[in-house]
Amino acid sequence: MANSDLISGATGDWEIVLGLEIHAQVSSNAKLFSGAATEFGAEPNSQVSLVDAAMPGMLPVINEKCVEQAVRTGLGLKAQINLYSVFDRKNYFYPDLPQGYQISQFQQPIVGEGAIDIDLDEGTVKQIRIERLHLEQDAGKSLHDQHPNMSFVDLNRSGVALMEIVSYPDMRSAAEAQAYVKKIRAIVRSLGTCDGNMEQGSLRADVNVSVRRPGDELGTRCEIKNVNSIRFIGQAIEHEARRQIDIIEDGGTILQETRLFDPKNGETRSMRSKEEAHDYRYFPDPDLLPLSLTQDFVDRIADSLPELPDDKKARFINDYGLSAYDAGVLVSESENAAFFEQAAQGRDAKATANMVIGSVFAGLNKAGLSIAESPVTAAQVGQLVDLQSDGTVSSRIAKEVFELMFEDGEDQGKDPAVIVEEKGLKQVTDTGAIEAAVDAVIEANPDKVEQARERPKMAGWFVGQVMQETGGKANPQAVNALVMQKLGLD
Amino acid sequence: MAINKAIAPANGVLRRAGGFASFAQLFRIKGLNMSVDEKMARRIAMLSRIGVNDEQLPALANELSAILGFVEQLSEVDTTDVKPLTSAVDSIMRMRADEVNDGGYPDDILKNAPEKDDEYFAVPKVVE
Amino acid sequence: MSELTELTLAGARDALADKQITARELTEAHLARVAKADALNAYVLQTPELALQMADASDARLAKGEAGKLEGIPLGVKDLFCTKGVRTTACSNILGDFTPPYESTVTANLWADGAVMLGKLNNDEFAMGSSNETSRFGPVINPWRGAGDSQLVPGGSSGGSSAAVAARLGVAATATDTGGSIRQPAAFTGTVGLKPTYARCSRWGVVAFASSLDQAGPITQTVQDAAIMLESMAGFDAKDATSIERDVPNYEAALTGDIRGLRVGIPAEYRVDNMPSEIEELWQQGIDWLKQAGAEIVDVSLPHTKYALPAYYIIAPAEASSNLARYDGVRYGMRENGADIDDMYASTRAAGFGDEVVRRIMVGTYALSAGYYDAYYVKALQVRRLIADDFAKAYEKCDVLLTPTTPSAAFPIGDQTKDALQMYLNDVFTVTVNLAGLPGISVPAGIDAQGLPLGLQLIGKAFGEEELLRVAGVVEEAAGFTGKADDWWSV
Repeated sequence: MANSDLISGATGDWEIVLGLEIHAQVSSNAKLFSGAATEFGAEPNSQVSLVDAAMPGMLPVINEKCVEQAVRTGLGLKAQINLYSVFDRKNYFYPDLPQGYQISQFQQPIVGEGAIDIDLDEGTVKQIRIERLHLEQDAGKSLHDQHPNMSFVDLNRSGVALMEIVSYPDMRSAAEAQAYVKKIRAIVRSLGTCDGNMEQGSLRADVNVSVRRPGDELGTRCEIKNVNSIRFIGQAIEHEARRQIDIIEDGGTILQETRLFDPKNGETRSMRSKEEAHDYRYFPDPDLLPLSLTQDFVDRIADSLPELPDDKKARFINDYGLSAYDAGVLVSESENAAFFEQAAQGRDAKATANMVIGSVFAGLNKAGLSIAESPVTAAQVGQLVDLQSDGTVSSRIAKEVFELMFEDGEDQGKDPAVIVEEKGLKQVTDTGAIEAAVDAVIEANPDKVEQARERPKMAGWFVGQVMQETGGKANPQAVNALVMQKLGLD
Repeated sequence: MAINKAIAPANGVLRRAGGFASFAQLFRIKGLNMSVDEKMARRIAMLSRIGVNDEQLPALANELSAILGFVEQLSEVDTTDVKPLTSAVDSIMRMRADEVNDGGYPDDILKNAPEKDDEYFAVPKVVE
Repeated sequence: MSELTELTLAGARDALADKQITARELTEAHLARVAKADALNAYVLQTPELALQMADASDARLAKGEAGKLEGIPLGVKDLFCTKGVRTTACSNILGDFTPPYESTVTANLWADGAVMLGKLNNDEFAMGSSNETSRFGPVINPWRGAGDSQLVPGGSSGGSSAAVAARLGVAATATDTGGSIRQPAAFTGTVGLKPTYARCSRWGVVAFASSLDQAGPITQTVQDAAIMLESMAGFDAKDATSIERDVPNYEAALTGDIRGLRVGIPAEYRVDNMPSEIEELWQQGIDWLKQAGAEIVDVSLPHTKYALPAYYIIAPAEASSNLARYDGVRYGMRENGADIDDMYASTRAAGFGDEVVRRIMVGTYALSAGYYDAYYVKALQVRRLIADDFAKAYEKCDVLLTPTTPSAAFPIGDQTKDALQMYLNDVFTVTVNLAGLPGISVPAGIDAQGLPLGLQLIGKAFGEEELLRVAGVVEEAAGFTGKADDWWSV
C-alpha cells in the first residue's frame, strides 16, 4: 500500500514525509488570558481588552474553560494529560503581536502523546501518532492590502485561545494528510472544543513536508504556514513535494524554511527569509504560575466526554449493520450522524443510511447547504424510508418524492405521505392493472416479442415500457414477473 | 559551555577606589570576559530590535562582556539537581470563569496610538 | 502653613479626624511646597487641580463621617503606577505622553481609602537604576547634601518618592522595589521604605520591570505610616495571577513595641571585610538596641549571598527584555518612522530607551538566547532557589534578620553613572530579599561622618509584615532618628 504513495521522479521513486501542526481555535466565550469576547466578525479592535492590547502593567489570568477544552481534546485524542504544565513566552516582534511575545507552552505542554486512526479509501485505517497538544494565544490580524505603504492591525483575535496539535511525521501522502485533518476536525467538533470552521480560520494547519528515497533518513523539511482548507492542503503538499524532488534531482539541496501557499496559482513560495533571525528565547512566563490540575478535574471531564467519531463508527457498524464506508461517512460530522440516527430510529437502518447518504447528503452538497439548513427533516426522511419499505412507493418514486420535498417549489418541506397522496404516486400492486399494462405493451410490439424470445435480456425493455406507462408506480417485481410469464421466459 | 572562563581582572571595570572597590573584591568580580564580540552584539541588538550603529558596537560589546563577566561567578556554584526557582509564589494558579466581561472600548484601545487609520492601528507596511 | 507639611501620616489622619485641619488645607500646603521644589526634580507631573478636587471630596466625606483609612492624605505616586487620565511614562521617552485609560490596583486602593494624589514622582527609567539618574526627566536631587553642599543622589529607582517624602513634598509616597528600589532610596534619604512580600500588593497596572521580582510598597516618614500605607495598598487582586488570596491584617495594630523573646538573625555573610566602619558600627548599634529590647540575637548563615547580585543581573534583565518588547511604537508611546516595520522598531526603541535600559534588554536577550539559556538563565534560577533555601534554613533559627540596607550613604550625582557594575553593587544587601520574595524594610538609624542618613534593613518571613513592622518600630524608637534635610532647595 505504501508503494502506491510514492512519487516518481526523473531518477527514481520518492517518498513524501508529512507532519502537521494544526491550530484549532478553542470554543470559549472569552479569550485565553482576558475577558474579551472571541466571536468572529466584530468591528475592528472592538473585542480587545487592555490585556490583549498589551497596555503597560497589564497581566494575564487564565480562562478555566480553555484549560478544560484542551484536556477534553487531549482525552479525545487518547493522549496523556499532564497534570502539571507551564506557560512560556515565545519572543518575537510583529505588529499584530502586542506583547512582543506569544504566551504558549514549550517544554511542558498540557497534553502529551496520543494517537488517532485516519480513514483512507476502501475502509482502510491508519494510525497517526500525536506528539503533543498545547495551549497558546492567537495573534491579531494584519491587513496588508488596504494601503500602498501601511499595514493595518486589528487585535480582535489577539489572545484568543488556540490548541496547537502536533503530529509525528507519520503521513506519507496528501490524501493521508487530508484524512488526518478531517479526522481531527471531526473529533474537535464532536467534543465541542473547536467549531472546525476552516474558512473563518478556526482550524488551520502548518504542514511540514520533506521527501526522501524510500527507506532513507528523513530529508530536510519545509514548513508551509497557515493552510486553511483541506483542498489547499492537498495542493500545497503536491506542489511542495514536487518542488523539492525537482531541486534534489537537479543536484540542489533543500533549505529548511517557512513557506506560504498561494491558492491563486497553487504554488508555495518562500516567506521573506528571516530564519537566521529567529530565536524565540522561550522562558517561563513570570506573570503566571505553573498550571496544576487535579486528577479529579480530568476525571470529571472524562466522564462528560461525548461519543467520539471512532466509537460512533464502530457502533454504527455493529448495531446498525452498516458498512465501514457508510459508517465512516455518517460519523465524519457529528450533526450528520445525529441526523441519521434520528431518521433511522425504529426502522431499517441500512435503507435509511442509503437515503441519508444518497439523497440527503447529495442534495445538501449540490445546494451548498449544511445539515442544519436541510429543507427535509430527519423525521421526514424516516417517513419516506417507511413508505419505501412497506411498498407504498418504489425506490425510484421515493427518490422523486425526496426531490420534491427538498427542492424549491410548492412541495418543499411537505411530509412524503402527503406528496404521494396528492400526486397519486402510490405503487400499483394490483396485479390486474399491471397485467393489463403488460398485455398492452406486448400487443403493441410484436416484433420486440419475437426478439425477446430469442434474447431474453430484451425482457428488461418490456419492464421499462410498463413502468413508463404506469408512471413508475407499478411494483417493479410484479411487472418483472408478469413480463417473464407472458413472454414465456420463466 | 558558552561561558568562557573568566580572565584576569582588567583595569577599567572596577576602577573606583574606596569602600566600593572592597566590595567588588569581596564579590570576586573577575573583570572583562570577551564572550560578546561585535558580531554577537549586533545579533543581540537585532533580536532586541534596538538600532545600533556600527561605531557603537565595540563599546556595546565591551559593556555586555563586562556584565557577563560579572555574572560569570555563578559557574562556581554547584547546582547539580537544583530545581530552578521561577517564582517566589508557592501556590497553584487560579483560573477565571469563561465570562465576557472586558473589551468593547475600541476608542480607549486606539487613543494612544502613534498612528491609526479609522479603527485600525497603522504601521509601516509589512512584507511577508 | 509649614507645620502642616511636618505632619506624619498618622498625625495628619488624626488631625483630620479631629477636624483640626481640613484635607484642602493639608493638600494646599503640600502643593505649595511642591511648587517651590523644582530644584529637587522629584515630581515629573503635578496634578494640583485633581488634588484639590480629591481633597474637597475628602472633606465632604469627613464631614459626613464617612472617612476612609487615608481620607484626605496627600500622596505622591511613582510614575511606574498607571493613573487613569494622568500621563504615565515610567520616566522613559518610549512611553511618550501615554495616558492610561485605567488605574493601577494599588493606587485605586489608595484612592478608595480617600487618599489624594499630588502628582507623579520621578524614578529611574523603567525602575532600572539605583540613583534616579536614568530618568528621561533628569536626575532627582537628594534634599540631603554632602560635604561642601555637594548634590547627592536620592537613591533609586524610587528616588522621586524618597526625595519627596524626605522633603515633605507629600505625606507619603508609593514606590516599587525589584532589587532594592524602595529600601535603598529610603536609606539614602532618612525615610522608611517597606518592600512587602512578593504578591502582597497587586502588580496590575504597575509598569513591569521584572515580573517575578517587582513589588509595590510605601516610602514614608515613620514605621507607623508604612503600616498604614501598606494596609491600604495590599490585598488580593483577581487580575494578577500571582496575587495571593490572603486577608490584610491591621498592620498598625502590630506595632506594640514588644519584641521580647523574638529571635533576630545576624547573617555572617553580610559582615564583610573593609565595610565602611560607620555601617559596621551602625549595624552593631542595631543589634544592641534589639538586645536591649529583649530580643535574642542569633548568628545565622546565608551562604549564597554573594551570588545574589549576579543571579539578579541575569533574571531581572531576562524578564525585562521580554516585558519591554511591548514598547514597539505600534499601539502607544513614541514612534520613530522607519523604512519598513523592522526599521521602525529599531529606530523607535533606540530613540526611546536610555542607555541603562538598552544595556539590560540586551543582557537579558543574550541570557535567554539559544545556546546560552541553560548556562545563564537556568543557572541563575537554580542559584535563586539556593538563596531562597538559605533564608528558609536561617528562619529555622530566627524570626527576622537585621542587616545594613546599603554599603554606603548617598553618593554624589554623576559619581557612578559611568560604571554600570559599580552602580549594581548598591543592591548588594537588598537584592537577596527580592529573589526570595520576602518582605524587607529600611529604617533610618543613624548618620555618617558627613551627616548623611544611614539605614538598617530588617528582613521578615513571607507574609510576616506584622512582625517585621513591630521590630522596625523598635529600631526606629531606639534610633530616635530625627534628622531632617534643610530646605536649601526652596525658592
